[in-house]
Amino acid sequence: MLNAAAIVVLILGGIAAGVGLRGREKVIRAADRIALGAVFVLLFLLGLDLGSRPEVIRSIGKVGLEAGMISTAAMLGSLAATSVVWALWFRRGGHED
Amino acid sequence: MKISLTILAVFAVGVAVGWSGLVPDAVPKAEPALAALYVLVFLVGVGIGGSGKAAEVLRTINFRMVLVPLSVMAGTFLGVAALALAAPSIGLRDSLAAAAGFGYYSLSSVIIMNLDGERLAAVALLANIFREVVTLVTAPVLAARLFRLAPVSLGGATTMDTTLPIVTRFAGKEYAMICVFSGIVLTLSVPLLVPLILSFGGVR
Repeated sequence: MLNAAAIVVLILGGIAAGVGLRGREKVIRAADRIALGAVFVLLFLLGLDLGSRPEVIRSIGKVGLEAGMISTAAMLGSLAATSVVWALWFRRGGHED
Repeated sequence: MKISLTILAVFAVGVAVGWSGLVPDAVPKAEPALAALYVLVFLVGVGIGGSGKAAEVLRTINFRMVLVPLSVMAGTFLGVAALALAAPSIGLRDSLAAAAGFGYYSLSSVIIMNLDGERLAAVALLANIFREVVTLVTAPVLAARLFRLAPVSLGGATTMDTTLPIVTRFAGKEYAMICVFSGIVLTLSVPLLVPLILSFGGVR
């Protein structure tokens, strides 16, 4: 199981390692490339798995529609909530300090 | 934008190859070792620490800045909760999990693939890529017509890297630090919130 404690430790460890590596551009860039490569491989495998399931292919329109609806709802909600923060603390709050 | 389109293309090629039946069943598909995911999470941290942005942000942090990512989280969850109420076929747990990527499609879909399944992972992937692409395309209009922080809000986790240049350009340079800060907070929240949300409602 993916556990939250492991994730916190890993992210914080990663940040610490990243701070320690600051200035060593090559290493940082390599880490970035490995991460991107891992993402490519994992998402290709995800596609492969989905593609080989006929029941998923048949409902691919539904998957896309659901994604679009969730995304739209998420963005509208986000804009609404941040607009309140903007109105109360930024627009009237004067200049950036 | 280029990377998100490349990702989408890689994913689409995977779907096409899987559909074609060229790959024998013996090839391991989506059940990537948890180790790979842990490496990814670690490398996300390295990226944040190594960019120097985090230290810069810590120097300028203030109360108002903290409200921005919090409003993005609250608003995102309220928005999808409203959707789940209006369209019960889209479950609350699933839509919250997909939306909790805040545009960070790679990490959120990989976590969901491990903890839930391929279908929801695909929904999350598309929903979050959509969020990033919409942010890139609408940033100029939203900043000018709605309010300056609108593209920062829309961009979610992506405003610390992929959408940072375009969002700060249209929101204004004075909001650059808020942009990075909000993106970092939301990015860090993804590997925490997605598993937390998925842990509710048990196995489907």
